[in-house]
Amino acid sequence: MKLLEVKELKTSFYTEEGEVEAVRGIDFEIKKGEILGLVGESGSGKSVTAKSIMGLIQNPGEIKSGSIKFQGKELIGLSQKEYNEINGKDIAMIFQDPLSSFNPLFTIGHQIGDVMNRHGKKTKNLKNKIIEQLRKVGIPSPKERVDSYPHEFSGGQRQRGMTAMSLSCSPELIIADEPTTALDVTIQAQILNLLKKISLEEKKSILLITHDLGVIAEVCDRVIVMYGGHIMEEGSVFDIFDTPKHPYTKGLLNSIPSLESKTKYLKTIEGSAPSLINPPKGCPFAKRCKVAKEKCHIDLPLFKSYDKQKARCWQLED
Amino acid sequence: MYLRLIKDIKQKLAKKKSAKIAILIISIFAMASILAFLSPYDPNLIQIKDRLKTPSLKHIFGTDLMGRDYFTRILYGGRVSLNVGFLSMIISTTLGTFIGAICGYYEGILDSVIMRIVDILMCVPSFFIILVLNAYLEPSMTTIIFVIGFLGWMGTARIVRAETLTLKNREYVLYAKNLGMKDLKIIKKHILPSILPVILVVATMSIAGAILTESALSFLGMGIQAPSASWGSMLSKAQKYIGSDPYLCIFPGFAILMTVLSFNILGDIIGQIMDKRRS
Amino acid sequence: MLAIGGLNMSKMIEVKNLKKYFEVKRGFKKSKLKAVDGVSFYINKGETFGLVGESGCGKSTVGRLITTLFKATSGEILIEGIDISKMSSKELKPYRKKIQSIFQDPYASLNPYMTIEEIVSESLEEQGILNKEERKEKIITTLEKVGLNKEVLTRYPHEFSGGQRQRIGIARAIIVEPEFIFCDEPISALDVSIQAQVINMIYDIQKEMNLTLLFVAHDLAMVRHISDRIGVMYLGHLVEVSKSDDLYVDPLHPYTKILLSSIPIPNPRLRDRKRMLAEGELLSQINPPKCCLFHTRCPYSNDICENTIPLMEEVKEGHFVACHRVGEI
Repeated sequence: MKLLEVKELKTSFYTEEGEVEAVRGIDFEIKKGEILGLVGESGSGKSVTAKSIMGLIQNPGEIKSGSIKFQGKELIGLSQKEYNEINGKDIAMIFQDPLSSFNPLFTIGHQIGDVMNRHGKKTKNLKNKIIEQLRKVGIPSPKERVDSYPHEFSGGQRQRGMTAMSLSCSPELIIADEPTTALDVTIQAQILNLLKKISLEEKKSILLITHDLGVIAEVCDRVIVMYGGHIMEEGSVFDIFDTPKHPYTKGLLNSIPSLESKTKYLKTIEGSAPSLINPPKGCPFAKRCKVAKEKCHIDLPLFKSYDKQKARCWQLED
Repeated sequence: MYLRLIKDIKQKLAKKKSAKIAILIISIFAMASILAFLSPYDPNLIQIKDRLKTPSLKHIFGTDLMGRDYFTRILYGGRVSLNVGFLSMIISTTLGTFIGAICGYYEGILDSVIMRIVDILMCVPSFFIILVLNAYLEPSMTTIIFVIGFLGWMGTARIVRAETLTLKNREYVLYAKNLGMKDLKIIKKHILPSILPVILVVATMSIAGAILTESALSFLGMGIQAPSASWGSMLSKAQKYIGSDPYLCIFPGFAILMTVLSFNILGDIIGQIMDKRRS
Repeated sequence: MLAIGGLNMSKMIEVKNLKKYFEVKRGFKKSKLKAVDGVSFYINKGETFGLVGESGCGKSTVGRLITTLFKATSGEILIEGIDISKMSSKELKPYRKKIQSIFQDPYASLNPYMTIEEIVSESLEEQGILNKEERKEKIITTLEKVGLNKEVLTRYPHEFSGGQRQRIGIARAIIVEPEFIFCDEPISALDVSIQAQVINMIYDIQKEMNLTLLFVAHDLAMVRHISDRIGVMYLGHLVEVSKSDDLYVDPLHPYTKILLSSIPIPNPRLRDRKRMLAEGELLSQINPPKCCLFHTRCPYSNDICENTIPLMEEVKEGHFVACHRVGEI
């Protein structure tokens, strides 16, 4: 069952230097109970995609065109009030920096209770329910910690607190925007395990945004690869890692140092990401692509299916 | 290095209309004061027969109660205001920057002690200290400049210290330290350029404040003494005639208003420009 | 500790029982934050020593102690056998040329008001060795070495990308032909595809100039690539030191095992592998108790671990561990 369906989404920001075309027409869907990984470098458009879904794009940005359907209902064009009904209850977001996502003036318990109250989960045993949420995400001594302030928690615990807050109203879709980038690797492993567990046990869908391919491999069922505002490749996590179709995906996979072997030289992708103000015609990756043809610089390749994967590359046409 | 900063500020200022207007007004006043000597009238020459003449072609701003040409007096008064404003700003800014940078860079006991002194000094209403000091010392332009200057450095010091505290942990500063660069050189080369924008804002604001303070002092008779003209003292003398000869109040009052406003706006805009650059 | 066997290795840098405590005010009480608490290791000439650990472990502090940005609370810092830890500014002067640093944040490591030429020549100027023309020559050749041409000389840092700025930082460090460079997480703030470029460059330059590197990082995969030997730190203590391959193939300290196990592997077929993950809370580095600081998260901890500080011992050749239970697990 399609939980989220995004079609032809285009989001831009209007700055002094010109229009920044952050997202230039993307299509994807998320099924119920699936973990979809969205991978890309900074400037690829992944965070803007997440914010577009959550209705968090504000002046000077706007969603130019496209459709975002959640459980069949169109989200673009909803009023702020209507968005507020959905945010937190049906779709929730876990941000990258837990310190700046919590209000330093209120206790964690208070803030979680706030969310639950807003979505009509007013029950007599609210505090107990909150403590239960904290326990579920693995915060030790939740009865005592529920009245602590954000700065009294460590980074990893704050992220767990953020996860608890997102889950408090049992949303169907969780959008996690680089949830572990700011955390130490041992804490990261614990948080990722938690997310996997929640998705499995409660059949929740997760859109996991990251630039770390290791995280994708550990957690995700399907993957989309973004570059220069477009989706370059899509497929199951096994297909993407076994048989990547797009040169960018191949380049990314090649440049990861593997823990097992110790080759002295790491393969790299020369060059850097294109500017999204007046983006180049054709394929955004053409300038850095080792196998680019003339056509690649002129026409944007179509997003087509090849076996069970989808990719946007002229090389695959032949 | 400072060239780039100045070029940058000039570019950004050129884009803002209000900045251009403010700079224009200030330039007009400055030019006018410098060229005051071109006026055919002596600002201090008393000609009782010409007293209280309304503005005419012969006397553009009219004459005051002693028959002196008002326009010329405004010009010379401008000299006083701008001199006091500018020179006392130099004193307070230099002092404040030096103390603020040292405190922020070295921290420790020195910093604690000096900052407490700053706190205490800021609690005392400086205007009254200036009044008292002026009563003891001979009120002259030099005295006023020094007094306003030496009692106005605290605000600058605090701001400069705050900026220095942030900057000294920047990695390019750490790198210079690694090279064994002397502290004073590091402050000069790496910290000051980044503080300059902030200092510029504080400086323009303090010129405005100084002009206002001098005008107030002169208004109370504790500033520039007769027969020298100062906008403040002119205002003071004009009080009695506010009903009969309002022009006596309007011209000096307007002059003070325009100058102070222009400096304030300029400072504000530079502040805005600097803010945008940070993000 | 004995030098590792093999080629004629001499110790370029040696650190003995190095400690750095910071004073922390908690209300009216003054407490000590033990950022580095008795760290000893050495780096051979021409070698890259990787220092890894999670946030707060003290790895950056160790580097800053060696480059004298911080004054050590106690302990010795030997550069080619001579203790510099208590030297005055004047006495340190001849050592400044030998030691350079490359920092983490490309957006904060270059003075935004200086041109690239001014930035790269800063270290040369402080040395005061060459004249103006010679300096310019050298700047151009050094920039070429890091893949930038002389057009960049008159430009400013904000005109360049993160990766390019790091290269400028590298040029600045190598132009004085140092012997030792402290690399403080030089690639952590860069995009993944740029990280590889910069690491390759550092590797090439090191071999060409026979540099000794202290490479601090938290990305264990990247560190393995560039390091000859690696030290693992936890809450201010060194818990394991060994040759880089040995660490990954046969980690002995429980924390190292957990650290390696926690790294996400970019291979989905291995996602259900057996892993050892950390549970439990971290101890505080403020007035820490006298025990193994890892015991609260260690699956093997017992009474001894909770009451005695473990000492660093050479368990296999060139492989050192600080763990009470190392033989038994």
